[in-house]
Parts: sequence; C-alpha cells; structure tokens
Amino acid sequence: MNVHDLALVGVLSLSSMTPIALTAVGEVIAERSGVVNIGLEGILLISAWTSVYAGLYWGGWPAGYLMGLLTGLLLGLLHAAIAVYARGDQIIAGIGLNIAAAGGTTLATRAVWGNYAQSPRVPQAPPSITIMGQRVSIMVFAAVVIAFLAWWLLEKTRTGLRIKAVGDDPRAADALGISVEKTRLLATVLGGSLAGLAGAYMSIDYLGSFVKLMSAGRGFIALAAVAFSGWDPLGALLGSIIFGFGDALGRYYSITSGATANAYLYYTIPYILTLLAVAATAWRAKMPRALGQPYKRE
Amino acid sequence: MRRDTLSWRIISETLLVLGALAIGLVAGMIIAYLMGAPPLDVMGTMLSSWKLQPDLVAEYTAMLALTAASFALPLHTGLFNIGAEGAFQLGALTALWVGYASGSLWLALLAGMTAGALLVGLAGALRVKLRVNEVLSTIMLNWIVYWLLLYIVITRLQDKYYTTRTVEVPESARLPWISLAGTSIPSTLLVSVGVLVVLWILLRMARWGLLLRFTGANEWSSKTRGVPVGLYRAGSMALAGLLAGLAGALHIVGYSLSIDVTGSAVRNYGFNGIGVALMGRNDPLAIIPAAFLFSTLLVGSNNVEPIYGVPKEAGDLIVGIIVILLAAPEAFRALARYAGSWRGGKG
Amino acid sequence: MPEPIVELRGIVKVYPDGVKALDGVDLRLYPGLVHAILGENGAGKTTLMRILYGEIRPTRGEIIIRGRRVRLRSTVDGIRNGIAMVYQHPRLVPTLTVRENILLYFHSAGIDPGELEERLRRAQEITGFSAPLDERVEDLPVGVRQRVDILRGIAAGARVLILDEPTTNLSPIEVEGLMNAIKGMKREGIAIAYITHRLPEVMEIADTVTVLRKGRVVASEVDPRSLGEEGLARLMVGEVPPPPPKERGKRLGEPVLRIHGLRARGKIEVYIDELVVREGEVLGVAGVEGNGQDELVAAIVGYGERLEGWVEVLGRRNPSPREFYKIGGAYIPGDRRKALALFFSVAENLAFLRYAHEGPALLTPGRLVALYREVAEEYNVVAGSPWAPVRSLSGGNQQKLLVGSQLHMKPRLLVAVNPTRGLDVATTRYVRGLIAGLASRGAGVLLVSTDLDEILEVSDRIAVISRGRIAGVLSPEEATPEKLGLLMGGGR
Repeated sequence: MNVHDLALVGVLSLSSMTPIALTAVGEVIAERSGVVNIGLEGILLISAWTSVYAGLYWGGWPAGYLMGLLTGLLLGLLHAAIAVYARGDQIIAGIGLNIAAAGGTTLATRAVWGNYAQSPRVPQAPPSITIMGQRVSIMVFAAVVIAFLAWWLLEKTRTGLRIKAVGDDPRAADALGISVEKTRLLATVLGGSLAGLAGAYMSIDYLGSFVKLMSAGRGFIALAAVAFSGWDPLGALLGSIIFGFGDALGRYYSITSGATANAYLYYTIPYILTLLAVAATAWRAKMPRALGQPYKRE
Repeated sequence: MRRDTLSWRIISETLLVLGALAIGLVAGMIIAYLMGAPPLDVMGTMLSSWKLQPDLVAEYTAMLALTAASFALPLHTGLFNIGAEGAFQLGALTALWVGYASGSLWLALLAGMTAGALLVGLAGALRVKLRVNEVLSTIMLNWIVYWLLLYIVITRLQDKYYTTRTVEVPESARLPWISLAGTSIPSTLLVSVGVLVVLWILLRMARWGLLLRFTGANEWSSKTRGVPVGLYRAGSMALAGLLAGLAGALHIVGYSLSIDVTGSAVRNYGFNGIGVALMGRNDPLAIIPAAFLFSTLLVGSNNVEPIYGVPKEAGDLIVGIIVILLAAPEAFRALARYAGSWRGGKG
Repeated sequence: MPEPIVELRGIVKVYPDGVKALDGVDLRLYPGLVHAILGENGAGKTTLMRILYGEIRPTRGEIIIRGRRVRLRSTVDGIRNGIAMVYQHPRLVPTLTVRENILLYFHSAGIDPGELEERLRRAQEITGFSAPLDERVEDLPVGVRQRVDILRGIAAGARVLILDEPTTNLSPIEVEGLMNAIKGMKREGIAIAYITHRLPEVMEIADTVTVLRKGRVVASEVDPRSLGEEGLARLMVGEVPPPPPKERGKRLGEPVLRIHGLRARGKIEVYIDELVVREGEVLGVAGVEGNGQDELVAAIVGYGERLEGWVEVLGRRNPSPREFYKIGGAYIPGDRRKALALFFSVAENLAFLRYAHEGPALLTPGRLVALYREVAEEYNVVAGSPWAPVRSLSGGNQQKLLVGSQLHMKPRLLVAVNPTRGLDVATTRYVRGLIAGLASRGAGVLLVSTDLDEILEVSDRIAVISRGRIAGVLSPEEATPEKLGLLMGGGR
C-alpha cells in the first residue's frame, strides 16, 4: 500500500465512519440516561429500508432522511416504552427488535419490490463533495457537528445534567422531582433518531438502495464505540473513526486482492479490530451506574 | 401473599408465553392479509408443517433446543450469550472438516463441540478478565465466523462436482436416522433432548446448578460464600459454546452432511434459539416444547412461500415480535392485573 | 407559640400492599423551632415526612403551608413551597460534582443558576458549613455529603428543613457541627423537623416533641424537658418487659478467631493490631457506620483484601471464604437483602446459604424441603411454602431464615453484622437470644453492630472501632455511654 492508497483508505473511512458515529453518539446519550439499546442494529436496518421507500415514492433524499429520522424516533419510542415504562429487559427487547428487523425488512423488500436481495436505486443522491474521486456526503460533516452538539447537550445544558443524573442515580434524581421516565424517554428517542439518520445515510446516501441485511453489524460496532469512548460523544466520534478505518481497510483489500474468497477474509478486519479495541480499553471504562436497570419508585 | 406461590408463578409464566405467541401469530396473519393471502389458510399451513415434514421439524427442534440452551445457560449467571450463532456455524464447519478428513463420527462431534466452546468461552474469559461486554464480543465473533466460514467453504472444502456446496461427510462419520411413529427422523433429536434433560437435572437438582444460578441472582452473596463467580460465568459461556457447537456438528453429521457455498444451511439457528430460550423461560425442559413450536413455525413459513407467496422471512418477523413481547413481562402483568380487577378483586 | 408555617391534618397513608403506615396524623411545624418526631423503626416518621416533601401522596388528609391548603404532586412542589428534605443517605448524584448537584436542585426550585454563588454564601453564613464545589460527590465522606444536602436546601430558600435521622452516619465532632448549624437555622426562623429515635439528641436540640407509634400520634407537642428521657422512651416503645438477665463469669475456652497486625483496605484502610475471640464469648464491635466494620468483616471471612498481617480462624491462617465456612465459620451479613436472592424461593436461598461452601452434589426438591422444615421449625421461620420467593417474606422472617441457615451449620465462630436491624421488638429479642445461646453453648461470636443497645445487651466484651482502628476494648460494666461515645469519636 502506497501513500496514495493510504489516503484513499482515509477518504473511504470517512464514509464508513459516518453511520457508526451517528449511531454511537446517539447511544452515548441514551446510555448516559441509563438505557441500553441493543436493537440499534435493527433500527439501522428498518430506517434504511423506510428511507429508501420514502426516497423512491415521496420526494427524493430529503423525504428519505426525514423518514429515516422518524423511523428511528418511533423505534426509540418503542424501546423506551419497553425499557422505561414496562420495565422490561432492555437487552432482550433489543435482540427481539434485531430479529424482527432482519425478517421484516427482507419480507418487505420482497413484498414491495419483488426481490429478496435489494431495492431499486433512489435516483438522486444528497449533496456531496468529491475527494480523490470518492464521493463524500455532507452527512459526513453533519455527523461530526452532531457529535459536538451532543457533547454540548450533555456537558453544558440543564437537560444534559438531568440525563446524567437519571443514568447515575435515578433515586436522587427522582427526589429532586426530575422525571426519570421522561428523561430516559427523551434520551432513548434521541438515540433512536440518530440511529435512524444513520440508517438513512447507509441506504439513500452511501449505497443508493436498500440491500438485505446491509447494516452488517454496524449497530453493534457503534455499541462498541460507545464502550470504547467512556460514554463521551467526542470519544465515540474518535472510536467511530477508528472502526470506520477498519471497515475501509477491509474493503480496500477486498477490492485490490482480486480473488473473491480472499475478500471474505478481509471483511473480518473491522470486527477483529473492534474486538481488540474494546478488549484493550474495557477494563478501565466507567459506565453509567444505573445502566440497563429499570427504575421503580419504592 | 397468595400470588407468590409456585403454581401461580407457573400459571402466570405460561399465560405470558402463550399471550406473546398468540400476538405473534396474529401479527403473522396480518402480514399474510396485507400480502393478499388468506390469513387462516396461511396460519394453517404454517402450523401443520410437523405433519407434512416431520423429519425437518424434528431436526429444527433438535437444533433450536440446543442453541436455546446455549443462550439460557449463561443467562442464569447474568450473561447474555448472543454467540450461539457463531458457535453453531463454527461447530458445523469444524465437524465437517474433521469428519471429512478423519471419517470418524466421534472426532467430528468432539471437534465441533471444542470449537464452539473455545469461541464462546473466549467471550466469557474476556468478560470475566477484562470486563468486555459479552453481547458485543459474541456479536463480533459471529461476524468473524460468518466470513471465515464462507472463506473456508470456498477455498478448502468446495466439492469438485457439486460446486454449489462443500464435500459431504463420509458414511462412517454420519449419524443414522431412526424410525419414530411410522416416520423416519434424524437421531439428532434424541441426542438433543437427552442433553437438555441432563442440563435440567444439573441446573435444578444439583448443587452445581444452584451455585451457578446464584452467581446471576446475587453476585455479592456468592462471593462472600466462596463461590468462584468468574469461573462459573466463564465456564457457563464455554459450556454454552459447547452446546451450540454440538448442535452445529450434529446438524452436519446427522442431517445436512455438507454446507452450501452461501452458508445458508447453517444460518439463523443460533439467533432463533434466543427466542426459543425466552419462550421456554430459560428452563431446559420448557425449552423442548418451545423449540418444537418455533420449528413448526419456521418450517411452516418455508412451506407458505411457494403456496401463498408470503416470504419465509415472515417466520423471522414473528419470532422477533414474540421476543420483544417476552422482554416486557411487566406489561403483560399489568394487563393481567387489570383483567383480574374486574373479576371481583379478591386477589 | 407562633403561627405554624406547616400544618398536616389527619394524614392517612395506606400503601398499595394494604399496609397502613399512617393513621390520622396531625403535625405542626413552627418557624424557628426544632420539632422532634420521635418513634421506633416503622412508626411512620419517614413516611410522614416524605408526604410533606411531596415524594409520596397521602391517602387522605390535608397539607396546609402558610395558611393555604396545598396539594403536593411531586417533590418539585415540595421544594417550591420552601420545603427541603435531607435523607439519612443523602440523595446526591455521586458521579456529578457538588456544583452540578446544587444546580440540579436549583432547576427544580426554579432558581436562576446565576444566583448560585451568592445564595450559597448566605447559606454558609447561616449554617457555618462550607462545600467543595468542584469535587465529585462520590469522593466526599458521608458527613460532607450531608452538609451539601443541607446547604443546597437552605441556599434554595427553604423555610422548612426535614432532617431524617441525621446523626446516623456522623462522628461526634460532625454531630456537633450539625447542632450548631441547626441553631443557626433556628435564628433565621427556619422550621426544622427532626426525625430520630435517639433520646439524648431530642433532649439536646428539640423545642417540642411529637411521638409516633405504629402510625398514630401518641403524644403531640410535648416538652421534652418536662418528660425526660425515660418518659419519652416509655411513650416511644410502649410497655416492654426488661431483657433477660445475662449470665456472667462464663469460662472461656480456646481462641476461635485471632487477628494480628491486619491491614485491610476497602472504602477505608483498616489496621487491627490484635483482636481475639474465644470459645463461649460474644465480642461486640461497636462503632459508627463506615469506620472499618465492613473491611474488618470482609478480611475475616476472606472475601476482602488482606494486605498485611493475618487472620486466624479456628487455627487456620488467612482462610479463603470457602475454607472459612468449611472449618466452622458462619457469617450473617449486615444487609439481608444483599445476602438473599430475593426472587429465588425460600428453599433455594436456604440451601444456597447452607451448602454453598460444601454440600451434597444432588440437591433434590425433597432434600430442600427437608432442610427447610428443619430450619423453619427450629428458628420459627414463617413462610407460606418453601417454594414461595424470599421476597414475599417479612423482614423478620427473612432475617430468621438467614440466621437459621448459619446456625444450622453448627458454627464454632459466628460473625454477625447488625443482625437485628429493622426488626420488630419481638424478633429482635429472639435473634439476640439465639446469638447469646450459641455463645453459651461454646461457640465464639463476633457481633458487629451500630446499635449500642444491642452491643450492651449481648456482648461479654466490647471493642470500639473508629477510623479503622480498635480504639479500646471494654467490659460491659465499664462501658458507659459517655465512655463509648468518646471512643467512637476517636477520643481516649
């Protein structure tokens, strides 16, 4: 790999980083409030599908992005309903959403487009710039801005203080009249919405169409980025860049290696990298105290 | 309180499971209706698959019971094993490879179990030693196995003549089928049920199981009583991987004999096992009927596709919905309380 | 008396499970006066105050603040009506800084965060407390957290301050600081509700006393000085027969526990030079919570870190937890909820506590039921069925189950921590009797308790632990309250 190729991988990783960053930043907010959403993978997949649908039939990429956001918002709402109000098991609810999303989106692709594997292309792509011959969507830059906004929300605002309070000590927050339920609902919905944007990015922006199981574990890589970040939006952005680089590296090798079978081997790179990064940093991570625990007033 | 008796708990759990199942099936019928197929006929076809293809349903039941146990066992210690999917695939791949190379049934099974145990055991060790979240690590391992399987299937095991699949395990490494109630079914079901019964005895009747379950229910108390919590947790993960690896190996030597080049012969058994485990409320004995139910549903959704044009993924969707519903027992209990309140409010 | 600032009328509280915590309680709080609310555990004191704070809603009854009838829907309403509550364990978010915790409070009170510095300065003048604004709460000792909790209430303009058992976790010096702060707040005309079951504190600080027993007022606005400690005690407890006389001058046997030069670390560092428990005696370890009791016990049982020195249990040096139980040790932890698996059945909990270290490989239901019958019969555990979840048992029965599981091992050394915390009088007496009985049959007992009455009633010798050191070892005869208090506060 020469310098040019390395730079190329760098540009590729900008695109790979974006869905992970959006999802991870959203999940940082949700987890700071004490709610884990293992169903991010499912949200990515479902919103990728719905945004293609909206993009094709309702008004191009703006409708697509809006639909993705809305889908994520609603699924975040569903998760909050189960995790916060029904005090269900957050992990299991997420697993269920992932299974349902994998089946549901494939089913819907078949039902709507008569094809198992993929949807038609959404004709018009969102605005972008070109670096080294590679298309880089404005969403890439939006993702960075959103990460900073999320940091500002958590560290500089009243809402952020409340989110952190209910995630670390819901009883103390409750004693101050902060509604644990509403705050967690808000944070979970925010997290879901950003995952929805990420799903829309993958389909209507990056690929141009919906492909069966296209999220390919990115929801989980985002969860890894959250753990890696120490529950900080900017750390999550950094983590996403590293994982995005792994993804881009895998794709680069799979293209340049020629043989298809070898490409399969290179596709394992981002997952191995993620596992190693988390293994190297998990022991010192300080997670929110009440993470994953439903709150019930005595 | 009266409601805290054992029988009340069993009844309420059963109602919870049946309620989730009913809602899942209704959702399935709605999907069928939306796709222009007759809902009741679709459901009928789905649920009668055990009559049409008893061998396939038996095989699915055997596999799902084992992968469900693979999810359920670590959950008793407080760990979520999502790695049954990867362990199943790796177990199948290893068993195929070893079975093909050695011609020995026992070596094939042993290799499959070992591979699965090492894979999920790694996630267990990472969790215990380095506090790596096991959901994350098992998912990553699943994906690594996913691509690795495709790579090895194509580069090492592809059949010379039937290029859409790998070589088959030789006769000597196959598990015979058995006759049961007039039909022939794979004997994997016997092995699977046997393993689950043993597991049930270990969990419910042995001191080992009591200690294991306490590590999940009360870590602090376990530590103060000298129970090696980390060992139990990592061990339960390794054992879980062993169970899923065994399932994958059994699937190869007892049913599929080879893997297709897309890998679809060994996919989704692990993920569906999660739903089965939840439906069986993590109890090895209750998992067996739950596995049968899920298998009927999943095999049935395959049959529905050619007849009514409803894609087989409808089965996955129903499974997902059931799992989501089972995650929120409080919601069901609230409903039950509400329903109970107009029955005279004696409770 | 001046006009009351707060008046509670006919407050009734019935919890969803049917327990009647309060049964028609009236209470008035006056500006500048300390109103002690006295009662035993479970008398309904805290419930009453949580209703006044808006945290829970009364089933019936009226709340009148400054002459106006109000309805408090949440603690925000309480805070905005000028009420502040300081819980026994301060409700501060541990991972946030002191400043952030105060800001959260100001948000709820509807106060501009810009006023923080100035309001805080004023509150510091009133109370004499100061607060390290930029420290994380979890890094602060409990006493300082309580000060922060009081400060932020006063800074937010509270006119009514509720203190719930405020001295439980304080050293004598910190108690003095608190008393001074209360005097300062009185001068400002702040009304103080002082919840306690400690009579000397009532005598020292209260202007008037209301006594609750089982959810009812048994004495309203009485003068503590005219009744005296004994009069108050009688009102609080009702009629209680005196404890059985203790046999003195027992013959002591071999040491069952020896500690030498032990250094252990947990929340604080502990150094125990020399400590011995012999067969046939109860060694009481008295002290304020958090002075190293947990660390000491963890080092003895073996689940805590031992940095230096040794613990010898029945002749075995530094046993692991498993060895500890195997060679004849038993352990009753201070918090039964931490020891039990609440959703597991009574029989399973019992079998676990009894057999975790060692036991038959097969534990069939038949065997579990047999064990349950034995223990339930011998130790008066009342459970609906051996398969009922432990959660459904009353606190007393949970505790008897825990104690029974340990005594069933026929231990030669029992380590018991606060074995009667939160129990009613009869169960308390029963459990203390079991512990004393065990010692009289030749076992050694290390009784760690924050309840001085318990220590005095059961112990043959009393060690006082303070700041991780044994401050002194006394016989019950020498152990006057003054002497114990001095040792617990780190005096000589």
